[in-house]
Amino acid sequence: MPVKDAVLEYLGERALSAPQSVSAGLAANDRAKVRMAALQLAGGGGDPASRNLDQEAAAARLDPEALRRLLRQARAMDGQVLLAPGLGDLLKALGEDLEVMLQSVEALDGAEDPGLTARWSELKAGLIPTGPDQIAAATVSRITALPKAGGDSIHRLVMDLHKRLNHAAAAQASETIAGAKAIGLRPEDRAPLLAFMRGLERTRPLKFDHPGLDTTAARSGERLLIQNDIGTTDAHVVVTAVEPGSVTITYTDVHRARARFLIRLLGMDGLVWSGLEERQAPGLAGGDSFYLVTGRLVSDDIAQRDDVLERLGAGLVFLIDWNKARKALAGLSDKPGAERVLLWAARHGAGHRAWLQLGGVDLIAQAVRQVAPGRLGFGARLDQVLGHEGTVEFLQACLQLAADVLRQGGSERLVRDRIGAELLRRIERAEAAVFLGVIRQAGLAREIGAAILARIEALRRAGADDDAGWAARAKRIEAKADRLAIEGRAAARAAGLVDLLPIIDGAEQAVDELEQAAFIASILPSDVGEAVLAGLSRLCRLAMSAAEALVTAADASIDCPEGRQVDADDALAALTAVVDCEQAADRLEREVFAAGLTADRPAGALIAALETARGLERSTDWIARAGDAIRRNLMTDLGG
Amino acid sequence: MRIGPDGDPAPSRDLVGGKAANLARLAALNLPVPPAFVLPTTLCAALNAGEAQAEEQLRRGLEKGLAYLERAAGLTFGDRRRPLLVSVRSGAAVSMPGMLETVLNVGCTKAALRGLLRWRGNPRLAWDCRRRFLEGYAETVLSLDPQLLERNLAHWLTAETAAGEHDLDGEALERLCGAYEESLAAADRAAPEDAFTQLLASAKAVFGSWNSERAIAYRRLQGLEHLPGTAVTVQAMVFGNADAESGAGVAFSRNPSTGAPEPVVDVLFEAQGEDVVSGRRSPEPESALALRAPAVAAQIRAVLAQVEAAFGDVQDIEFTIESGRLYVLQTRSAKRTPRAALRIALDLQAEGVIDAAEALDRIDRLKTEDLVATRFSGQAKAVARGEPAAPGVASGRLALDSPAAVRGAAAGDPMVLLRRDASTADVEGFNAAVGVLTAIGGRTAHAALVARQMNKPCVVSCAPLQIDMTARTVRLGGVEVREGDWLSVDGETGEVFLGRRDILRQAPEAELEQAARLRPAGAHVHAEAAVP
Repeated sequence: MPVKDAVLEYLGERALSAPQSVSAGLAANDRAKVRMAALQLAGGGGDPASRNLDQEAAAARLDPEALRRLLRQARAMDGQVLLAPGLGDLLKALGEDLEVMLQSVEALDGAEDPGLTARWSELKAGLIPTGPDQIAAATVSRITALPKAGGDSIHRLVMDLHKRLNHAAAAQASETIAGAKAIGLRPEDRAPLLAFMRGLERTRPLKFDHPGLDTTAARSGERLLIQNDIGTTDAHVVVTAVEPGSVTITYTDVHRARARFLIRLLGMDGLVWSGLEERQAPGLAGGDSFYLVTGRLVSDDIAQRDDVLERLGAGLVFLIDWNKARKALAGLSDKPGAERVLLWAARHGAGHRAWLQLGGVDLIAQAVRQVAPGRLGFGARLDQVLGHEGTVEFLQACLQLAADVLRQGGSERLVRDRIGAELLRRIERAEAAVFLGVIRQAGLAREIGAAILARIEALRRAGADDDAGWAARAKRIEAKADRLAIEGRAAARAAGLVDLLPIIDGAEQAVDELEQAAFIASILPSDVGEAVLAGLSRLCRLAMSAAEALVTAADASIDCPEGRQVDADDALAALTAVVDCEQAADRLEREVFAAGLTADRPAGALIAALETARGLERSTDWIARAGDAIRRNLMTDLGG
Repeated sequence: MRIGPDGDPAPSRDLVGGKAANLARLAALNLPVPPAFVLPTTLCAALNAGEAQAEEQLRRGLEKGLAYLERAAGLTFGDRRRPLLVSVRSGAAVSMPGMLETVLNVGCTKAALRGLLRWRGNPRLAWDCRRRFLEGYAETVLSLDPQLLERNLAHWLTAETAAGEHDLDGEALERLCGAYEESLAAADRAAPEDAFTQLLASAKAVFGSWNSERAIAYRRLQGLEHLPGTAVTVQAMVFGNADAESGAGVAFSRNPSTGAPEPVVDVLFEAQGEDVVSGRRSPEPESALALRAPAVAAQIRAVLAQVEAAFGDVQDIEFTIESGRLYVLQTRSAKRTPRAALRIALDLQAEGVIDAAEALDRIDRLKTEDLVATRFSGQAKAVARGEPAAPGVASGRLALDSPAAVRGAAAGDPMVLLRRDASTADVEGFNAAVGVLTAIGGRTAHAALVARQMNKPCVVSCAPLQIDMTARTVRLGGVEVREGDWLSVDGETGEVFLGRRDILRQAPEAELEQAARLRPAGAHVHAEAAVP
């Protein structure tokens, strides 16, 4: 039946039975929404060829052809007047939709509502074209806008009428199925409604103290319509139409990001989404644009249909206070980070309501204050200490903790403590990563030392140097250690661990000294004398021992904050060993020097030997400095 | 059953296997043996038969044994700070070199790795142990194709311009281990993070290897089918891969090919035992050890003399050096060629180590035809040269794997088996062939031992050898040889020749006469060796 005829038929009959009224009103609501979206789209900028409301039109039982023509050929003249073929008819039809909705509400209430009638009288004029298929551009935005405070618009009236329809419908004789108000359902409607409610009930607890999530289901012609009012503060609603072979989700929102969130949460399995395409905020005066988003599943597979319905039901609770949560989280991270946290929390069955209810940003701020001051400098941002990724993960954990604790009936204090512990754990992990990098550096230092030792021993045996490429290998090791130092410093800074930088620097310098010593040792002639060579050999072993002790100290330091007494003991013993090596290397360098001077050898050989000794000794100095920094950090951990 | 200062010094071989029995005797001689415990051969039979109590007995045995090892070594299995790592090795009553399984560095969990870092301060050692553990566990316990992990190694060797794993630095080894774990995860497998689970699975794998194809084949070929099973010896690890003063090797108290009374030592620095006996790396001789660690070299000679005297026979020991300290991991009666057996028996009798009756007993077990020495007639130019591993000469058609050797032999042709590295999986091929040639490996590798015992001339470590298994050809010193072509090898000189050569045979006249003189008057004289 052509749409207009259907409307007239309904309008002609005053005595509507309740289900028919609801049905008529809801159908009119669908059409009105699409028509307003078309107006907005036609009046907006962008490429006319890409304007498309086919899916939405089909869902609302409108002729897609006509709508397409209107959209594609719409032109704004001088930015003042919007001209489009069929525009006049569309405006007229929009007016008729409103009439139907008004009539339906009256029929259900049993009486006229003067307030609504008055509003309609006021706004009607806005739907009159200024010429054939023309309307002032500013008028378009007045029709479609949702003014916040005080103002009124056709769109707001449509939404209010819709709410009234729902309310009236709910007041009618109805049955309750699985917690939803059901009006005039057929037997085959139960299964899909139950699937939806299953999902809804599963995640309902995550709503905590917030009102909302009431569901109304009604049969409307060949379709089952399931509506949910989500929260109550935002005038946004999701309507799902179920018919044989397809499910269509219609969702309106003023926040594009939230609509995108819902689409992401529900996923694309079988669902085709439209409506989020680039709709520039119109260059027209005033008014917020809104988004009419449609998700459609075309399938005869009942299991797939029920799966989509269940997922939708389960996802709605995460729309409540979504924007509020996003703003709060963006203050701690940034907008993209906030959206990731919210999506993660929804996917992991935690949501953001518990966190908001327990204090939101304040909750975290208090936990941070508890954990500080030793750890987080005053005024330091979370992402300065944990890095961007680390902050996102931490916030995800916070939302999870809040949901878990609130579900178990725990207190705000408990969540705060747990969040504090979580933060501490993450800071320690960042520290551990730095120390593991230092262990790598020290290990490479040890290997260069071992290579020099092998060379010295080969010279002592007066054996052939059977390892030609060893100096080049030492150079490669040094280059690798340099890269590790650069990465380590970046990581330490990102985590705000500036106290650990001297450890990384010390290890890096030690490697550099050893590589230099390796180079000189590679050209060291063998006729430098056994006494000198023996001394160099012992110096190599000292440098290696120092590096080993640094590894031990670093490893023990990782465990120290949470660890046992033995960890602190191991660390301190190793740090003492580092100092011992440095002092012994000092003495040994002088011995080598003395031995070299008293030996009757060619000057060149001696200089090379002494430079090698100096490099080895200096490496122990640098390792000792690194050790010092570890000790300072350790004392802070143990004492503070 | 414990092995160590307070262990049983002379347990039954049938029960604990030859390896453990000998270890116990070594410990009793106060030689430096790392503490160990043994799970008996009877448990092997019970487990493989699926007996009800066997699993529980295994667990309890491992728990008790671990407690002992931890006390003896002063370390804790799987510990975060002072970790104990162990080797899990097979040992039947009769030695079956390379036929059964071994898993090393067991207990090397991620936590234990941190412990190694803490305790030794040597990241390269820690990651090398972890690498070895993952490789061994994946192949032996998880029964995964070695290629799964090996291709990561190949990638890293190229990325780091390294010739072999021993050239990779600690940081590269750390990342290699990460790559190994990813490969395992991608294959839906993982090495257990719990140390005891690792140990249990390893012990089961070793017990299970009793029934592997090559073990069954070896037992059949050597007439050992009556044995009930293998024992499992769990021993504290010693780190031959710790540094440049560490290594692992094998030593014979006398030359097992010729019987000459001179020790033969092969050593690999910065390596663990498996590297030598697997035949995958070519080791260095005693002279290298004497140069780098003269004290250790001297100590090995002393140990060899001591064990030979104690056991009354030529010994083959496995040793590990950790930072200049020598440890003896194993001793057994050396596998020797028949000719060497003759010479050794006579020498030991002359030195008073054994009496004439014992000497004759050993000699009479030798087959006359095996005592014949072979050499090539005429002169020829060698096309390549390798390391002589088992004496004698052989001339035959080229076979590039065991099945080819077996097929050719069945068809009546003498076959020379040529492999890149002689793995003991080739035992059927060894048996079918008249000679063996390998590209890498040492003369003390398991494979060489087996060849020696089977009296097949063997040349190893023949470097100028490039095998193309798809085309079934070999590039030998610049010349291409197809499978089926004639090749001749000389196990005394290590030379390889193209084509067929005539073989001269000679009985050891002098030694046989010497043996004859040992016999009581009027006794049956050993028949003169017939020259076929």
